[in-house]
Amino acid sequence: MRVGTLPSREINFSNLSPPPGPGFALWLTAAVRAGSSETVRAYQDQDIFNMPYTDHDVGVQARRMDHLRRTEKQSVDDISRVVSIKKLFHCHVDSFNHFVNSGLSDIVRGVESQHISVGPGSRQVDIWLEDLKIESLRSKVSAVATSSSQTPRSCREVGETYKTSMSVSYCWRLQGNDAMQRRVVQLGQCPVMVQSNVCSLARLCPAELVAFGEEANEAGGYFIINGIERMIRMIIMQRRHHILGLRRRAFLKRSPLFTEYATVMRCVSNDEHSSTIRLHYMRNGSLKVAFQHRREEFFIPAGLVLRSLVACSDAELHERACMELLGTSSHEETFVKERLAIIQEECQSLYIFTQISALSYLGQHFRTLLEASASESDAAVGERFLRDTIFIHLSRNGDKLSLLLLMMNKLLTLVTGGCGPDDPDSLVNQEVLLPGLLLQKIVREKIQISFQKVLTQIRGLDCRINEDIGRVIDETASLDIGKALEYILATGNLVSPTGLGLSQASGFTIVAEKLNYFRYLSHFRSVHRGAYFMELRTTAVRKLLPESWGFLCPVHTPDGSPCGLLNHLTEMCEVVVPDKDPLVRSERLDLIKSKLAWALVDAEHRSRFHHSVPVIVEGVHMGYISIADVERAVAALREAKTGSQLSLQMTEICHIPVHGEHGLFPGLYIFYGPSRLMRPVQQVHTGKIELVGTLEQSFLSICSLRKEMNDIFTHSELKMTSALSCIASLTPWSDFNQSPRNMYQCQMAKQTMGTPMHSICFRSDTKLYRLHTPQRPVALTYTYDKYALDNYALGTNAVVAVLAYTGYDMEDAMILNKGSLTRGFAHATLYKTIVETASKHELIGMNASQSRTNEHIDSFGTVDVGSVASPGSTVLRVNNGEGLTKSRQIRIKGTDPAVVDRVVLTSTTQKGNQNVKRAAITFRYDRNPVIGDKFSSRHGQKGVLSFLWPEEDMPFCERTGVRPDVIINPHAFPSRMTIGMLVESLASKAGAMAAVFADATPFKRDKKYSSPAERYGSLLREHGYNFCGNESMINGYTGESFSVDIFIGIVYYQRLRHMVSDKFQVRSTGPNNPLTKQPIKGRKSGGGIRFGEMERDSLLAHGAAYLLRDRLNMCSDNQDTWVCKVCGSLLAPLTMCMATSCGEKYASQRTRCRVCESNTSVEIVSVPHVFIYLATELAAMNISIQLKAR
Amino acid sequence: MYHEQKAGSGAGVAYNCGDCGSEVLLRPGDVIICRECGYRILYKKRTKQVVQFEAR
Repeated sequence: MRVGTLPSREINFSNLSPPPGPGFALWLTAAVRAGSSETVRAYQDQDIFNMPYTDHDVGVQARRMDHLRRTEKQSVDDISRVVSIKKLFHCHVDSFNHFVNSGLSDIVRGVESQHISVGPGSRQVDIWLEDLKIESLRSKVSAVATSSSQTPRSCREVGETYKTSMSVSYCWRLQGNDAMQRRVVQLGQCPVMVQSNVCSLARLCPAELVAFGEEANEAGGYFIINGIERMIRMIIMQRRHHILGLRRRAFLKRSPLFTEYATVMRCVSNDEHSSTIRLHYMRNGSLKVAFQHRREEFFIPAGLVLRSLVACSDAELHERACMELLGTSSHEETFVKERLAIIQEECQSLYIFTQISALSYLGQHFRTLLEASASESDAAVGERFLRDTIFIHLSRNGDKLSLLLLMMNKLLTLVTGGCGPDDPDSLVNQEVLLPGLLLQKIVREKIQISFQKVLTQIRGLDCRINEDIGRVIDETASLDIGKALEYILATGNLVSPTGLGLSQASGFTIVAEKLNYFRYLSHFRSVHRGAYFMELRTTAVRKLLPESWGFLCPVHTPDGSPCGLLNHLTEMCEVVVPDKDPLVRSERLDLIKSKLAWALVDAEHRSRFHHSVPVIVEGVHMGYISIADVERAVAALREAKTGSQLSLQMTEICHIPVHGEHGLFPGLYIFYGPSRLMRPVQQVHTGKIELVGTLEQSFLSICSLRKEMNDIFTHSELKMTSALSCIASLTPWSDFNQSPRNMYQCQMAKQTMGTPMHSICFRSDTKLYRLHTPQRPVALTYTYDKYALDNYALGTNAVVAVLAYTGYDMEDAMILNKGSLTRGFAHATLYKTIVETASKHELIGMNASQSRTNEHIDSFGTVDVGSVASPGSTVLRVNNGEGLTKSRQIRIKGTDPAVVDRVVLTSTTQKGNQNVKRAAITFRYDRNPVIGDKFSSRHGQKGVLSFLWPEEDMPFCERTGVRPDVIINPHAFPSRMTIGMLVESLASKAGAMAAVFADATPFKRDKKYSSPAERYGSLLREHGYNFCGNESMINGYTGESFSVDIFIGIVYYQRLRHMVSDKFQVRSTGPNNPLTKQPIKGRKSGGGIRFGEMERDSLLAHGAAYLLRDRLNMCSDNQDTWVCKVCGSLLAPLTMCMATSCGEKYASQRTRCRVCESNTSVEIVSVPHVFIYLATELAAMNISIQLKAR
Repeated sequence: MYHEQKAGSGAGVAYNCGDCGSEVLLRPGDVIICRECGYRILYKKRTKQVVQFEAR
């Protein structure tokens, strides 16, 4: 028994158990309560400890199966596969694993061994890097007791960063001295992704995770930075290794020479370094290669690059180019030849006729850019330039040449109109930035900078002996990469000299909020278009394009400013993560080559009479394939892809045919690189599951409705809901709703109070909401059980009558049965934690001599656990210095009384900042429904609780006596057309009677019944109810029957987090702004609500002058002041300082106008204080204000 | 009726270790650490005093 080694904790934490909820049994609910002991016990009940551990979450599986037995048979058939919720997080965790396992070694491999000569005797030194690694936290936990080492839980509670040490070895060898020297350099502490391979929680079974104070199915994917869970969000990038044809007006602005045409390719090297190469078409017919170096853009004539890539005569180069550029497309021969001539002339005008001269020319000009040493020849620098800047994903110059020619080909075809431009906003031409790969880019840059620094130091200091070099490395190489990584994770800001080829510098990370589990989950499935597009005026990027079908959810995107920019992956969509084994890469390439070898021809041998298309395999132009052979080749590849060859599984095979209507540049494109989006579909003929990519999908015929299947289709969708995200597919019968309503539901599900986690007692999040009685919905979809979301239920089944009963349900208000409320309907708790850190010289605690202001504070200065803290009372005392003289008191804010839930004292475990003490006090606030709280059904029908109606006065059903929990107004339906809610009401009612859970998966049809309404209507009829769900009801007041039958059923209601108790704002008097003397704003500081211009207008229109005066003057900054009737000045009258107080009568006489020197001309008026302020300000500018006072 | 030890009695306030669960008595100025296992997260025990809630 694995868990036997861990201390049993149930007993120890008995006093930390959650607050006593209403003690009634939950009807078929996931009775999982937050709390260690209960969770452990829940799993013990299912005999989890004796079950073999698999990758899947065993506990969840067991629970799921239990529910499935009770769910309708139909939905059981569908769920043949057990899926862990971890699947939805996999791209985050796996990409970090790649970063740790192979990414780091790729970085070191990318840093070249340097051969430098130092000193006057020019002694040679070889210096290189090895062994860049981060230490695993896993071994630590198992070897030593848990106490001293970090676990995610301890980091959260102590407010530390979950991190581990990172190091690299500098190796060098002096000439004539064989012994290799090595120096290990510490690179600081690298933040660790939870549940990655190096995390201490990796591969623990659910029971062990619970024992560690985690969720039973902790999926990880986030970092813990200063106790806060933060995640790197996925950002859309241009697809790597794919030539895009662009037509952009912005190019014209560069210079009058530019046209709007260009082709562009983003190249990514093995160590995830990316650089973009653009090829511009110029007005004079020449072509320019553009690249970026350190955020600066450079343009080189394309002829020069061509010339430098191949050693042959100009005639041979011309011949070669002609062969590549002619033939595949229809543009005229003369046009191409003219352009070639211009390109070559450009080169010759620079007196460049050979490869060497071209390389020297490049070397000469980019010498300073590449920081070349004096000893390096121009040609060598030119070689290095080609290697490091032009098509960095290719190593051979021959490959670069043919790729450049292909880019030229596409550009000229685009210019002549042979093909259309590609849409860079379409998902077809995009991929996502994975968290692990972003980290890899950052670390790579830092390592390279540090390595360069060491080299310059060694060169500069003339190090000739090992000791010297070792010293230099010790002094210069130590670089806190960990701190830099922690910074980007904590702030989301990227600090980099090169910009890493990314389009933004901030907003890379966000807090993974755990408001409820759905919100948390959707953070990990979200894909952002990029910060740049947020400010863009045009809405083209926000458009929902048909290409994103099946990859991005059309429903699940927020309203407002991020609409269409923040998308969510569909439930089945996967992001390709880099290969675990680098061998797979070469093996796969060989396999692809072997499948294509028979048909592949090079440019020379292709027939002039038959069309042929270029073959590009992950950015390598392999040759051409005749259009007669291409179908067969694709079929062979596709067979291999779905066959036993797992290495090909994530390959995207895309054949863009010649002369298609789409107008795209033809070719056979094969991608197997990481970061692409893929999704499973079914092959029609073989029945096998194939993963298809975004570009691939556009050229396949995928059938979505089985009954429409015919010979055209090669693939079919696996599910009807394959276009929906996990959250969107949870909406029951969403196919019956008007589509914006489904979007609203996606938003509202994410603001619902539910079950955020089961380990609430181990967390000190600032704010947590918890619903006491979450239930399993009676009507639920396929996804709900697939991911066992019962563990994180977030609503209650309520009996809802659609009825205009009193006036209290107008305008989306709802009436709640008071009896239901007292029985515990939608009761909830808000947990708030305040954290106070005591600095080095401070002590948490109280001096014995100090008086105890609060009887609940003990001698240690902390409030008693379980006591009620009234608003404003002291909950913690911190003393300063040895003498314990000064003390701080931390008080509880707000207006509600709170129960002290937990008091946690911690001291820092991480090195460096020893002896920092921290107190976290968690308060528990009642948040039971009150009038004004917000509720919603799962169909975007939100409403506000308007009245707690006494149960005895509620209407009741004539036949059964059932009284509704909730009454909503029938007007909520006609304009919103949320028929799904009516269906849910009907089906849940039938389901409750027949004791089955209704399968509410959208787009799913029963053969026997024409609609779900018919199906569940007849089920209702079997149980003696009306087919339509109507019942005759009796008025609770009069006892008379309603003249019409009322539609009554069961609807799953969510309680949203917007609550009156957190929002109400009242003020009679209170703090004022010291300058204007007007009330300040802000609920927190006891301010008022602005009575603005429009409010003023409405009172004016009503002629409510007194009210206006009251609001704008009396309740604001009214002031009685003196004004001079003669000069009209507010400022001139001055009250003399008289020692005598002779009463009011004389006061006016003592006030004189200093301008008119008169006592009698002054009068008291009532003006706003800001007016006096304005007069003063204007006086300072030599402008006087005169009031015409009489 | 049970009464908790008041300030100045010197016995300290009882906390539970977050790892091994053993009781730790803390006085002002003490290092926040479990004396049994060295764990640095301590939870305060629930008060034994009567707490009265308003049940409405």
